[in-house]
Amino acid sequence: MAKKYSQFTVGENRSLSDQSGFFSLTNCDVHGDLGVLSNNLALATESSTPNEDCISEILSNGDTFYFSTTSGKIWKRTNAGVYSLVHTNANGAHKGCKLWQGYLYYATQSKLGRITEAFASSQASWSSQVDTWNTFITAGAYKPMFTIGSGLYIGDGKNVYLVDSTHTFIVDALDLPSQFTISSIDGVSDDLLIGTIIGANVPWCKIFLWNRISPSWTGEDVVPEVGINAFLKIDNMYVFQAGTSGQFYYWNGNQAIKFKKAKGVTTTVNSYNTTQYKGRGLIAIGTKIYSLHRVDGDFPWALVCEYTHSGTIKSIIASVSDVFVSGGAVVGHIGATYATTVIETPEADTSSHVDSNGNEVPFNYVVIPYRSVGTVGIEVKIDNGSYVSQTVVDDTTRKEVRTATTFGYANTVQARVTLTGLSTIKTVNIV
Amino acid sequence: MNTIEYNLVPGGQKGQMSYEERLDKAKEYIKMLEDDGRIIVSTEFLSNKVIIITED
Repeated sequence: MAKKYSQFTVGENRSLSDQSGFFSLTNCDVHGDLGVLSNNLALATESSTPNEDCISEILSNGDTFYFSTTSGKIWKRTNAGVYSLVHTNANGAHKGCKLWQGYLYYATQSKLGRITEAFASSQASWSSQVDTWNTFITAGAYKPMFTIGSGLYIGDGKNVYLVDSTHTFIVDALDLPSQFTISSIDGVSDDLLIGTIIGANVPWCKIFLWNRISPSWTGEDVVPEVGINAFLKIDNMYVFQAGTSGQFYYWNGNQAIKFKKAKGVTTTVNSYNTTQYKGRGLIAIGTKIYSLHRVDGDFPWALVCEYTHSGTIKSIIASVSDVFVSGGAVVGHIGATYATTVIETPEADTSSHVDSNGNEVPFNYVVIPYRSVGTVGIEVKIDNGSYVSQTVVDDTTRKEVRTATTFGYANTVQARVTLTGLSTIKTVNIV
Repeated sequence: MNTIEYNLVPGGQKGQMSYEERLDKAKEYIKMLEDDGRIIVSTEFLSNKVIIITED
């Protein structure tokens, strides 16, 4: 009758009653040491400047530039972690940024600016930038950027622009039907995947595939979501997040196929909210940063909340050993103290409440075997009621934490476990 | 000098702009650049694109 929840590498499940995976995993590391779960290090504020939400791009030398999405301010973060305001763009808030062929390009609502990579880093206060290097037709539209093949491709309303390898600006390299606005772009091999939105009140959109040579796109599929928000950076998979309910899709070469879903999501996701850190594809939704990852090809793809930020996240970007998060008017990064980890099991039920001898079988305890443990809190929800905090016993001989009193007869039991301080647990058992 | 190319190659029958629409848009774009204060050194209308050279 006991339920053993130990498949941490499966990640979050699909519903409260889905027994494969966990109802929620917050601030967890499930991929570092397979078979166990540990706290991740918590995000901490690295700098209160930039004090505006930003999108960002990292240069070859590790310097990162933050472009405000609410004003024209541009900050530099040196690879050593020193922040400074380097420029204020008179053309207003930024809509996109990308490094391409020795230049750092950045877009405002109607202008494409740029500065050489060398000057961007070397000038303490920029003087060599050209904020109005070129002009977009669709003022106000978002400007997602992606580099592929020999070009930097930029979405602008229904149009795709190209900055080629010689830095020639090519206007209207591709145009889509006028009802579509390009919301995000990515690559498939050397083709371009173009995500769109029609409008916040239209429950469908399209994704387009373009080989970058033909005068028209070469494939398309309807996606039954409000818009395509962001492409994830995952090796050998073309995954994107769409709509306002946390749905993920992947591109199979011809069509967008449903893939995963982050439960409880009710909002759209910013295009710059994806990055890849230590091989894990990360996506920020609201204040949470999820990984979509599997360590081994035989494992299922696991969706796990790895980090939580103090504010709503505007963008994330990774370096070799850190993740930088812009949101809530601060920049956060992976700090030095362990996060509080929260694990919710599915609701455990039994195939029968009567054993083979005809005796009624109660739910008795939540038992958590561990390798090492800080402070463990256990709450229990009986028959989908409300969580009730439990008195716990740490049995250091058996190396397990368990609840002190039995629950009695119930239809379902769900456990919520809180790990404070570094803990490594092996399973959550409901017996 | 800054080179801008306006693509005139129309798409297929997919709701995209025709050649004539693209040509009109290209002319509007040149006007937009002039309104921005960009000094246009030359414009060359080819069958597949307009090449615009600006002074900046």
